Amino acid sequence: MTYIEAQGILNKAKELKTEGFDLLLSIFAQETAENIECIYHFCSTINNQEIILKTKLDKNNPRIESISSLYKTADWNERETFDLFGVEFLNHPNLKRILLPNDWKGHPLRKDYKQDDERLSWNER
Amino acid sequence: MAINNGLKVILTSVDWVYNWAHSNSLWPLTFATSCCGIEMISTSAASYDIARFGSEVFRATPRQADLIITAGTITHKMAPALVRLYEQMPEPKYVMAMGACTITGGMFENDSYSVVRGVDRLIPVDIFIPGCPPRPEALLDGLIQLQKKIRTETLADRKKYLEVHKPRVKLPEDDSEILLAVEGIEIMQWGIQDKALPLDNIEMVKR
Amino acid sequence: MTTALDNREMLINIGPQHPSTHGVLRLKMRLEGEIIKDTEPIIGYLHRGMEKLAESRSYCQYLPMVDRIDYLSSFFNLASFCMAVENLSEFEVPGKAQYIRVITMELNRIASHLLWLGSFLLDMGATSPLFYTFREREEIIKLFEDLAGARLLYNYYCFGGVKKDIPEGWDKKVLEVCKKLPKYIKEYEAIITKNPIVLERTKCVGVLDKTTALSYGITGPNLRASGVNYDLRKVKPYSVYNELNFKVCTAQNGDCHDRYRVRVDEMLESVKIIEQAIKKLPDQEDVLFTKKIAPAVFKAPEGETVSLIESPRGITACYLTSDGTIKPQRVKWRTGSFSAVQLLPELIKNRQYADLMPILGSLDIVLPEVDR
Ligand code: SF4
Repeated sequence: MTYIEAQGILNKAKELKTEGFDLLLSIFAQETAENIECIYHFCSTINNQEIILKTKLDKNNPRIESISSLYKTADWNERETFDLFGVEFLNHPNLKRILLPNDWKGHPLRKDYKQDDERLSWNER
Repeated sequence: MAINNGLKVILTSVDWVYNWAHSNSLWPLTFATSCCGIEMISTSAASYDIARFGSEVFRATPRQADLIITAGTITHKMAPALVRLYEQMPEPKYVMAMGACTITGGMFENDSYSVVRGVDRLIPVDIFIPGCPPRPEALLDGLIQLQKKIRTETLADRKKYLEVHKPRVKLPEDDSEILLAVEGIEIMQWGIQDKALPLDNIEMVKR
Repeated sequence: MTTALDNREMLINIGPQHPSTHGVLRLKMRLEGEIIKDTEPIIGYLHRGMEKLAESRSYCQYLPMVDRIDYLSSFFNLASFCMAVENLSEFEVPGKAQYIRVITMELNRIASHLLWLGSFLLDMGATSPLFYTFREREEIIKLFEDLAGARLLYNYYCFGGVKKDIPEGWDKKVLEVCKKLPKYIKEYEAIITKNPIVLERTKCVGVLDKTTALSYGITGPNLRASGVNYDLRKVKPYSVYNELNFKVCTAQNGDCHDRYRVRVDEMLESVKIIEQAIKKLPDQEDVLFTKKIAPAVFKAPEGETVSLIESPRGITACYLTSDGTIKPQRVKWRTGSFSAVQLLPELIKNRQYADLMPILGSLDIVLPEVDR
């Protein structure tokens, strides 16, 4: 597991791609006490290696460069991360909600998420 | 009186024939959303053979079906589709809630943010089949119970029945994707214990 | 998806309730006559928030939920989560439990592929194979029922091993089923593999080349059908796969027919693995788990880990972060179907509408795994 700066992710991904890391397994985020961490898991089918990159983002305004131009699978993974965590991916072609309805409020995997949408009152426990 | 009685006799025999024909050829809609759906397919496959009870004709379109087996979790995103499917089915129509998820929300009932806590909040349910997932035998049993229920119905009560069988939430008019509650229809809320039991009740229990 | 429509174009919507989408997938398509110009898959109709639910449950409470992520191969999800917890707490799984795990996982792989085979052919309009595949699947399910008491969702593994010993005579029954399976599979091959209609509809349809597959993150049989020899059981052996002798099935063309071939070969290969594993299954040893854990107070040590598993639909990965309390801090699931759905628009672009179902079927998508 390697930590890298958020700004360098695009260059690092380019580097990795030329080094033979051809399979991007997943992108996801997790919340710690201070930051939101965005995690990238790369795999190489050629020389059988794995690498996990970690970036730290600001909790109030998480933004990071999108790598969907390099790896196609990043597209949906980033959309999912945006949907559940609200991480904004810059230069993403189509950044909108993927798993939840379009008019959902909030990002549910945040630790401070509370469901207080009035429209859903019929579904209260 | 005599005319009335005569009408009743005629209606009863019509009922009998109608119900007999109807209950023995329930055509279900293929509505398999998740795990319970696989058990539903197993039931229709060789070793359990739902055809013995006249329900082997799984229809892909709601317009040809008269039974909807909600097999699997329903989420907020899926709920409008379910209500629409139910509305598209022709009368008479029946609903079977298969699995814990469709009864109360099952294992997601407690704290999931996206699961509907029971399809009875969306559409009226005739038969509940508990289990996670229910075994094929349980589904067959549910089917037999439904057939029994249909046999006791009468055409004269149709109006009352239709009144009850109305969806309980409404589809949004704009293009939002979340269902809205219909005013005036109370939805049962599980697990809320703000009212303590009255004292005399407790005494009764003691006695 | 562009909204401006040409005169000859039309928009159609498939799903979310559609018999051939294997669950609740919705596709918005732009067609020009019979040709598919553009597709937008819409997922999330089964998003149950599995990842969030982990954060409010203890480890043992979360264990049965893991089954529901992919109900067709629930042993794999269980194994993946258990392995992640074992990595963190440094549990060593005893030999017998390892072999039982391998046997159950491979049986599960066969059952999953059988169901896929049935529904794949059903998508192409052949109804009867479904009944045949369910006949065999039912036999495997009976074995699981003897073992774990449930037909579909087993909850049989625990952290550091398996919950119960195999019942008496179970291994013999498994061997019997193993003896029958190749015969059954030959039966299918006789009707399917050389069937001119199936060949017409699958050969050179939905061709997926190596680089596209990798860039879309496709794994599992779909990737191997495109000629990439990448199987986690071989390249990063987990459990006891390094002691077993099997070959990785690949094909070269990457069309629907190859994906079908790879899966059928994999079933035969799995049968061999099971037979070997049963032979090696230790007799006397009674230890089935490292340590008896108390479910209510079990704490995984602080740390982060990932466990990778080759499931029937590609690599299933479980990322687990623990902060040392009784509840996980974050659980993330990476599943094979998620990338496969994303690939779909690429594969069916500029093809006939009739090709949609063979292609969608051959990718082997299970929707709860996509939405989680
Ligand atoms: S009741 Fe259980 S088996 Fe059925 S859909 Fe819900 S979680 Fe799945």
